[in-house]
Order: sequence, then structure tokens, then C-alpha cells
Amino acid sequence: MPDMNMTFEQQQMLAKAEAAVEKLSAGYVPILLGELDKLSAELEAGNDEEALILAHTIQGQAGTFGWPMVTEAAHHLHQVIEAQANSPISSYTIKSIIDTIHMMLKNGLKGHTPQGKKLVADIVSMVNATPT
Amino acid sequence: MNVDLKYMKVLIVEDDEHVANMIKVVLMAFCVENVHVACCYDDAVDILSHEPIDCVFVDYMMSPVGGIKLIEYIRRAQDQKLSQLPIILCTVYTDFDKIVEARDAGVSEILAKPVTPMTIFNKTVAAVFKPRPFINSLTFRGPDRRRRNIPLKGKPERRISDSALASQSTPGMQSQRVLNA
Repeated sequence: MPDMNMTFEQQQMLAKAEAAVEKLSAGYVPILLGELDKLSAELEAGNDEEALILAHTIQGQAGTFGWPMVTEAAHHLHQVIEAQANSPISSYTIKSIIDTIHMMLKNGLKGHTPQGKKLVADIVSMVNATPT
Repeated sequence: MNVDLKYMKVLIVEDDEHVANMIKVVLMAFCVENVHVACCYDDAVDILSHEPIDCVFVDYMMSPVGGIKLIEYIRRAQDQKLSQLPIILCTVYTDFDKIVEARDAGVSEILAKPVTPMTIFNKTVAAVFKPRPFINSLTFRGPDRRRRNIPLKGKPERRISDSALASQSTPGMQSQRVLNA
């Protein structure tokens, strides 16, 4: 949505920028799938610090490329991984969040869709119910 | 506001190549012709040492040296133009402590991730074309940390009056606010 204070020329540039980002976003899903695979591998190897960095990366990237609900999910994933060190390992919760992100991608839940919001709400409930 | 970004030289310091590329693509769509990308602190320092950069985007969380260290390096530089460079910090972390840390390091603007073309444009315009007065004191170097003009409760006003300062502040150029202290 262009800012009403922008000049016509700036609005045109904004539209051009949004189109360029849309083009970049088209190639983002394979990148995200790769990051998720790496994250799962790091967790399996017990490298929580590396997994934390990957969760943070996904959190920053996904919304930028049109997947804000994945950013939300990655935020909770980051929280749960971070809490692991001082609490009982919640590998079920972590796996569920990763599965949910896969589900979002598979169903093409870009933007703020009701289905995406529902999945994030389910994650929040699950995280809140996870003992720390 | 009518601004022209065409002749700006921008440096993006970001270890996530996808986000760096996205910011670069957006800036180029806004007609910025000269965009440099560094993936770490050392590369950024190297570019800043020989390129006359007008604005820098810095990622908060980089390895092995984080974005705050780069902000501190810039603000402590002997070169006045470099020390007063507009700095936009890109971060996922927007909790109070992190914002205060960035503000006290001398950041100009904070760009919350995920970023969008609109937020990139708005923060660039704010940092470069509508800079807050620059404070250069013994304990702090950076844009005025007080964005609002609210009365200080029981504390002395250390700044020169706003009316006097307004004439020193020129949009699009580095400005400096002098402390009375």
C-alpha cells in the first residue's frame, strides 16, 4: 500500500520495487526448505547454537519474501530452541513447528491467510503448554 | 517529500545473502545506482575505508562480530563524515533492551525484519533526508536520542534551544547539535 505522502514518481518506484521482490520471492521456497533441512540436521547433531541461528535466519527471511506466518512460526521455534538449554528438551514441539512450516509451504499459505493464522495460533497453544 | 536517491552510495552489511540481495534490489528499484554489499564486519570496515558511503544498512546479528560493534566503529571514527554516517540497523529483535542498545550505540534508524520495500524507503528517507540533530559529546556520538520534545522532569536542558538548532540542521546533509555542557 503506497504512502499517500509519496510523490507519483516514488509510488511508481515502490511498485517497481515490490515487483522485483515478488520476482525474488518466487525462488524462495527451495531456499527455505534447505534452511529447514539444515536446522533439523543441526538439532539432530545436538548443535543448538547453530539451530538457533538458522531459526533466526528463517524468522528474518520468510516475511521478507512474503511468508509472514512462517516468520511467526520461526519466532516460536527460536524461543523453544533457546529455552531447551535450561529446560526439558521439547523435541516434539520443535518437530511439530517444523512440520507446520512445511505444511504452510505445501499449501502455499503466503501472506496473512486465516489458515496460516490458525496454524500459528496452534503453535502458540502448543508452546504455552510445553513445560520449561 | 521529494527526494532523489539516485546519487547515493549505500553499503549493506548483512551475512544473509538473500536478505542482502533483496535490500539491494529494492534500493536499485528506487534508482540507487551505487550499492555495495559486505557480509561481515571486516569487509564493511574495508569498504568504508575507501568508499565515500552515504548510508549504511547493518544487520544486528552477524557472526563473528555483530552489527552494534560496526555502529560503534563508525561513530568513533576520526573522519567526521564517516562518524556521522546515517546508519540503519536491520533486526528481527525489537524488544526494548535491544532498541536501547542500538540507540545508545548511535544508530540513526531501526528497520525491523521482515523488511518491505516501503519500510526500506521510509527508513532511508528518515535517516538521510530527515536526520535528527547530531550529538557529539564526550559520552555519546550519534543522532539525538530524544525524538520527542517533552519537558524534562527536574533535569536541566543541556541542549541549545530548538529554534537556534533548527538553523543548523539541513535536510539531506549531516547536521550537528552542540551541547552546552
